[in-house]
Parts: sequence; C-alpha cells; structure tokens
Amino acid sequence: MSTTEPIENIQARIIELLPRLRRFARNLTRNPHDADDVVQIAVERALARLDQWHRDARLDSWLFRIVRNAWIDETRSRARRDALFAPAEAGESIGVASVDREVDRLSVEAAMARLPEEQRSAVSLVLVEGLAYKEAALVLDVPIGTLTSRLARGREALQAMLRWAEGETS
Amino acid sequence: MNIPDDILMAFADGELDEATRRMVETAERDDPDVRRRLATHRQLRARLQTAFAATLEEPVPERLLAAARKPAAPLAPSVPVAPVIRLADRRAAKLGAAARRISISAWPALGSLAASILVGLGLGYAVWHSPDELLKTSADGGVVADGTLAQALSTQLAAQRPPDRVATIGLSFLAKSGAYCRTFSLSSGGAGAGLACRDGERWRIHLLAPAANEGSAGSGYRTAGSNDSPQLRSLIESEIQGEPLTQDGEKAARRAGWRAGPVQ
Repeated sequence: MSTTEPIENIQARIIELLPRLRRFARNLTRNPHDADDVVQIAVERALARLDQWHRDARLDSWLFRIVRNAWIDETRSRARRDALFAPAEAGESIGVASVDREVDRLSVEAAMARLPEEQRSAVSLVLVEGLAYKEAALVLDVPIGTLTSRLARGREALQAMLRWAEGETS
Repeated sequence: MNIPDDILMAFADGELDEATRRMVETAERDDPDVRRRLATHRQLRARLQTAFAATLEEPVPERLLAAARKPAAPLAPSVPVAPVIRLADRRAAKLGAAARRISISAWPALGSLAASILVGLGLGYAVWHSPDELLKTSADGGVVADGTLAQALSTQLAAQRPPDRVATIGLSFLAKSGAYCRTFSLSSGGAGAGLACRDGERWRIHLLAPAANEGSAGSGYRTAGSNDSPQLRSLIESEIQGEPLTQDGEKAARRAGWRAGPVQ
C-alpha cells in the first residue's frame, strides 16, 4: 500500500467510517452524547497523529483503538473530577446501576449495556463490528487468548440475560 | 464428540483453520448437541447484528463530519489555556520593578514548579490580600500555605466540611515526585482552587486557579463541586501517581505527618 496516500483520501475514508465509529463508541459509552464526543476527540487525534498510523494496519482498527483510548481517558478523568471536590455529597447521585430483580424485559441493547467494559468492547468489536480476533485484540491491546476469553464470558452473560428476559415474558 | 465451547464460538466467528473447521462441520451434521450449541452462538451473533444495525443508518452529526474534514493541525492542548501570571513576576511588579507580564504558560512539571506558582489573573491578589493570611512567601521565593489554610491542609480529610472552614479539601494523592499533594478549594479570599504539595513541614502551593464556573455570581454560595478548574485537573492528571488516596490512606498519611516514604 502506498505510504503517501493523500490526506484527503484518508479523510474521506474516515468519513465513511464515522457511522461505525459512532456505533462502537455508543456501545462503549452507553450514551449517545458521550459517544459523539469521544468520536470527535478520536477523529481529531487521529488526524493529528496520522504519522503514527502504520499504513499496513487497517484504518478502522486503528480508529477503534483511538476511540477506546479516548473513552478510557475520559472515564479516568471523570472519576478524578468526581472525587475532586464533592467526595461526600456526590454519593447520592452516583447510583451504581443496580442489577436488581426489576422485571423489565432486557433488550439486546440493555443486556449489552450491563456487561463489564472489557467484555462489552470485545463483543462489540467482534460480534457487532465484525472484526477478526486478531484485529480486535490489537484494538484492545491484549493477547488473542485474553480477547477470546472476554468474548466467551461476554457471550455467556448475554445469553443468560436474554434467556432470562425471554423466560420471564413467555 | 465433545467439542469445547470456545471452538464452537470460533467456528461461529469464522476463526477456525481449515482442518478444525471441517471437524466441526462434521460434528454439526452428526451431533444434535453440537448443532444446538452452534445455533445458540449464531443466533446471538445475528441478534446483535440486527439490534445495532439501525445505528449505522442514523445521519452523522455535522460536527463529526467537520472534524474529519478539518485540515490536519497539530494537537490542540486538551485544556483551554487560561491567562496566568507568574507570582514571581507579580511580586516584582509589587516592588515596582517591572510591569506585570502576562504569560501563557505551559504547565511545567511539579518538580520545576518550586518558584513558579501560577496564579489565576485577579484571583491571586484577592487571596494574597485576604485577611485570613492563607499564603506566605517562603525563604526560597516560593509560596506556601499559612494559617488556616495550612491547618486545613494538614488536618482536614477530603470528605470533611467543618462549618467554619476556609478551604475544602478535594482529594489527596501521592505525586510522581514522591510528595503528598492535596487539592483544595477556597471558601474565602476569592473563589479558587489549588494544589498544595508537602515540602518538609510546609505545604507548598503549586497552583492557584480561578474557579471554572464564574457564572452563578450573586447567589453568595458556591458548591464545592463548582470550584473545578481545567488547569488544576490537568496538573493532577500529569502528576498523580496511581489513584487518589482513600480516606484510610489519608488518615494514614496524616498520622505520618504527610511525610511520604521513599519513592517506589
């Protein structure tokens, strides 16, 4: 592949990828606004760091990776910001999403949203975005074995939640 | 034949090598259990694909398109850079030596900050001249906490809000320099937030920044949470070692007089 692909071409390819980046970011952040913010940060970062993109790597994988790193940065800085000045009073508003026995039928989205981030991103990359194991492992910066075990646990959890939800209504 | 689930998942994901794939295909034909398990994996995959397909059809917001079209520019700083004055310059001005020089400064590492406290424009004056005497100049030209601020930094836990407090402690952490640092927001002498790090028996002030939200002027009250500052946040991000101290960690550090052990 040419190493001198004009920037306009790359930008056009990024634009084509935006819907998938948004989808991945939404699964990651579980919030459409956060998702778009993270995608915007990622696109800006990607364009500023194009020299760090190894042209033999897939552009989508590279961007997924930047999206996820941007989200990790954001969650860390939020955690600190929350701890920064309102450690005691914030308590009541930071309700941990309770996995209680609410009889609400879990949609696929809701089930996905309940997975831990590690499993959610693995499931999202492989089963939703259709990345190969090797690519997904690169995005998440983990060995393939780690990826497949997260994937397996994510699948089991999803199956269990969806089965439970269906059993509840039928 | 007993085929482990991870092989079946990999099969459903199209990740198997030729030989293993043939083996699973044969098993699928001959073994109802394998068939059932495979169907489960395929079904989940299909359900996920269907559930999230709609997202791709949504129009992409203009701001994202614009971000992708923008000509490549060097990375913008992640923190809006506020005008700050170096206190050293301000003291010089006070002595009549020079006009105040406003410098847009990149954040130096904590270690090199010793004599270069950064003070938000306007705020520094208010704090400096507040009757509480919260700050004083140290012999080496730096700025250290004094009086009630020093006391609060040494004794108050992050979660504590004594009624007559001059400062609220936000969080405490061990900095990469090996010293304990604590953020504080001031209840008097101007709405500001700062970072102080232990230096011997003193709390050296490394940053004093105006509160980020100046909007709610007039209410007379500021919630502690509103005294947030992008500069402060950025400084913490770059200097923190590990995670902020828990309350137990703070208590232990307080017992030890905020003397940190050797840097790990």
